[in-house]
Amino acid sequence: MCGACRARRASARETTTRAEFCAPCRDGARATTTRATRVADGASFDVVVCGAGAAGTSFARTYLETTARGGDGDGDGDGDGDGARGARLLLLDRGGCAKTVERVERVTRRASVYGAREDALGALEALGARTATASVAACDAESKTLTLDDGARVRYGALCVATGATPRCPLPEASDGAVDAHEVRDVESADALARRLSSMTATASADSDSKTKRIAIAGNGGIALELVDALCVRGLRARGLEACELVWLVKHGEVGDAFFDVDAADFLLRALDARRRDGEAKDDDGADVDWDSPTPERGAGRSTKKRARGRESGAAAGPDWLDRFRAKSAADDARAPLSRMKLRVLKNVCIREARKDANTGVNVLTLSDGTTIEVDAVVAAAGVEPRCDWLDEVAAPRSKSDGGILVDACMRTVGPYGDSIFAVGDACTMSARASNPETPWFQMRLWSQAAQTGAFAAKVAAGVCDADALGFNFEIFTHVTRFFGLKVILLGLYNAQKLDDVPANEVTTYQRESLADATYVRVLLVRGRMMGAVLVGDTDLEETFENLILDGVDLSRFGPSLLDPELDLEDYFD
Amino acid sequence: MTTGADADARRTYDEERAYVSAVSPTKLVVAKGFVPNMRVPGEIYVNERLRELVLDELRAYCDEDRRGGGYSPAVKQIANVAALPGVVRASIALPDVHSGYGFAIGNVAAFDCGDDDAIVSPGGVGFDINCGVRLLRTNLTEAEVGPVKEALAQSLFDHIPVGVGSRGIIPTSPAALEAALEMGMDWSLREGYAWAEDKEHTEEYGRMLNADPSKVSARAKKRGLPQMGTLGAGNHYAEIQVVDEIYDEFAAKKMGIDRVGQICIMIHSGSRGLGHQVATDSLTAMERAMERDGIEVNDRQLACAKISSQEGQDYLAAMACAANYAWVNRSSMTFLCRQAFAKMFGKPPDELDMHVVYDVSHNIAKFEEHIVDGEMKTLLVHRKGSTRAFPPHHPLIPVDYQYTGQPVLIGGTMGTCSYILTGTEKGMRDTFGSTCHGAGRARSRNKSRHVLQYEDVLAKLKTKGIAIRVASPKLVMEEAPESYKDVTEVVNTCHDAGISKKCVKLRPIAVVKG
Repeated sequence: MCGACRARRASARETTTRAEFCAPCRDGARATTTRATRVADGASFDVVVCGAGAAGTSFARTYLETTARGGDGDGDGDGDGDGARGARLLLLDRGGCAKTVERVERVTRRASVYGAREDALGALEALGARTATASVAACDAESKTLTLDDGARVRYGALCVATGATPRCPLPEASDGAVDAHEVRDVESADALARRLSSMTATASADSDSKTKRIAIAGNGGIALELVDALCVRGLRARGLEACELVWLVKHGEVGDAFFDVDAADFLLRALDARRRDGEAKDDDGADVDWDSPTPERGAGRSTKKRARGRESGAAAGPDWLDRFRAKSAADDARAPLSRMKLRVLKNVCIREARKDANTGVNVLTLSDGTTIEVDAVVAAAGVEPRCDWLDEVAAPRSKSDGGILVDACMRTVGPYGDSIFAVGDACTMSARASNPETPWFQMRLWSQAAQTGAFAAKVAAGVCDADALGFNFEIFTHVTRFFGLKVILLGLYNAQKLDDVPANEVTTYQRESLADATYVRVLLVRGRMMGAVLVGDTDLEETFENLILDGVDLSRFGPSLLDPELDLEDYFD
Repeated sequence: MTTGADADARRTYDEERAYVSAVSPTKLVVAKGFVPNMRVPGEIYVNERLRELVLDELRAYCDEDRRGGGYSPAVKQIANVAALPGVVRASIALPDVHSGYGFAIGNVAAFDCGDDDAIVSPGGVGFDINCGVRLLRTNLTEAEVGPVKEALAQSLFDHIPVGVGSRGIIPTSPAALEAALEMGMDWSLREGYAWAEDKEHTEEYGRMLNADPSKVSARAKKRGLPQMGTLGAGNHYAEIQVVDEIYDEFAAKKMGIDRVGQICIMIHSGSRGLGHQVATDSLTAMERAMERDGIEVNDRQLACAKISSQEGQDYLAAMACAANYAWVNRSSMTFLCRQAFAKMFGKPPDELDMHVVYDVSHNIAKFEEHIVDGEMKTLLVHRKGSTRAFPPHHPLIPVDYQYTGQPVLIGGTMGTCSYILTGTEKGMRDTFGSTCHGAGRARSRNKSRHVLQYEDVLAKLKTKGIAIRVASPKLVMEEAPESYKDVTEVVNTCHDAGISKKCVKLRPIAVVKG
């Protein structure tokens, strides 16, 4: 993130201090600064993409590349020839930035570590897209016309709905609206939180007499894990952070419940604890922080008294938002010592009531166990809900279970306008793909799936791809991420997703763990066939397991020795 | 379908050991009778230390407590292969042998095409069909590359195709995949990713002529398309290496390697998911064919079909496609390496002399002419985790190597040394012109069993938010020392046995792992 990026979306409180430009800004500087970001009334495009998140950007990029090459297929009648470039696709977004999801590290054939990189919307223009800073006010599916919030009317050949999702609010409905609630969903909201944090730590360090600054985070998924990791484990270069406390409100009995079962989560915490103890002696990278652990639950003591090794080694992996967040919240003083917030984990609780004290300006949360806590801000990280209310439900029917736009196996909406309206990413619900019980794939609203669905739908829209498309499929669920400094790979139906109807005696799981080298492996087999796996740490098994899941080879003869490191599956199935 | 799998279950180690005898310092022979229906003996190339490892594994297998681990020791697998229909002379194991699916890794077995009952078995090729190693030379030295090796490795990494679908540097489409499966490196050449000289220095000129893409299932193609031109994870890698020692100056010079310190690039990769699917598809088809044709084998993993049967022919045609695909993969990565080097050193790749020294296949079955009992025969030679090593003057090796013998590239385990060997006459006579392929896992179950304990736990899994608990045995490992059969020991054993000859030793300075 360079100064130009920042300036482009600067809020009043920000000043641009860095002179260097990052690559997209440098490349796109001339193009973007002069270009109008409004669309002329009555304009017409082959494709209009609503939302420049990971899914929308991926759609736009793939569509432009596919149709520009022209050799792959000729389904799109009118888009041929260089002359037509620039008019084929319109990308709409309310913010001015597109989030390009890049494959950062290929782990197996389909499992990759994805990172999100921001591009100015203008960067896509180099590929021939028109972009505009606008949102849709109304959509007439019959006449294929969109009315934008600035009143302009735009006609489309195909519409791609990529408006993502909104964070689920952990605060009860009746709450006073004045509560300082933040969310981490996109770059904008992460920045807002970072700013809040900066100002908080600044106050805390300037005024040592003031009482502890406190943030509550509600949620138990990836965002919560990463935020806790950043603030309390790895730490930030910010002054005053140690005077602040993060209260992690978890409605489940274990942390990381959105991803892990009890055993995997337990391992993660023990591994972390072991690393902390190992690193204690040599760790001179941070202030000596005193961790308090007031929570009585099992395992909580371990989880709160944690301090990972001074710094994570190796290249950054996982979505970039966290790096940006860290940079933002600590940008004031790069030489400040690395420090960490105190952490308190409260399990099995949710927020019953929230209000802001008009006199003190403090938010008071009443929890489901009856206790109250006072916090300076609340961070919502409790999952998301599809954001698609701007689109008529008759035109694009919704899923009853999660409210997303239902799509068929090709990302087309299931309503009367399936041929012209596609939905991708978080906004869609892929029940057609997910319902096949034979396929070890299911939908989870992740960066990686957003990018995949966007690219896939683009190929369908470009006419080079069908449901059985070569080159793309949803045959196996893969998710690669990093929690608490450990690589985490989830493959297939790793937590027995979709296996409700399989008798328990036909499901077998084997686990192996080694605290010494911080690896944990669990495989799940149904009638001897591997269906899923959880891999924590550097196990080097991901490619083999991915292949075994897709092969469907009967592995029952191996029994638990399947995970015997001496068996060396990787070689055995070479 | 399987016979006598456990007929010998109650033999003690000493009884088993009686079948195995050392006939020379580098060779063990496994006599008929070790497993049921052996048609030929087994032969294992080992030195003294490697011999202990092989026997340790057998000892552990005989130990009642450890039975039922689900896999057979390598020596049993070698013998089971010696019991397959049509097998000739011997089932041969090379020093890096260890157990694999059906056939051991490091096993060579040849089947007589003149025998109607002779079989082809996917297990004898392996899942990663035409997994292999390619070596590129350069005219650069360690002094020039050393200071920029990190940047170079990063640049290599950046050049590997990334992105969803066909966003890679090398664009792929279903039509391109079909063509690549059929044409192998001829496709790479046509598309401009390979040089004409590359083909000359690749086994089969980088193209199996019997490839028939219609025999490759849609699922296999689906798995293969996104991976075209990709390296793969696990034991696949690209390494920048330095010539460390030259044993045979004449042969090395023929390969364009003339000084210690010269930089080479080694690429180790295969057919990845596509190969896996081809193997899996054919295993299923062959299990049915075996029942129909009444073929009996000692181990269910040895699924096979008569060479002349439809299933056999289909497999060979699909395997050839997977082999072609693997060559295209290595060619694509060669292209990317050349680009990365050219960019770094500001010279075109040909000025950097970035020629392919050779490209060998580890997992493949090929029709070859060999003399068996004084008679020239056409054999289907299965090499799994072993490398073809033809001697000087053999008609199937390139002109450049007619006086030296075929170069054999031995990749070490990542980070250890690698070697270039050459094929010998003795190898042609004794091992169907084959030698080792790399380091192997030294599996000595006997020694490390104490570090494993099984603990019964109940894993809590969630389906639709409801937790179910499943019995889930858990292995708690103490630090298990990684033990590999040292590549140097493996190579020296082959050299001492005379089945290949040491030529050059290389050591890595940077590695790129997919």
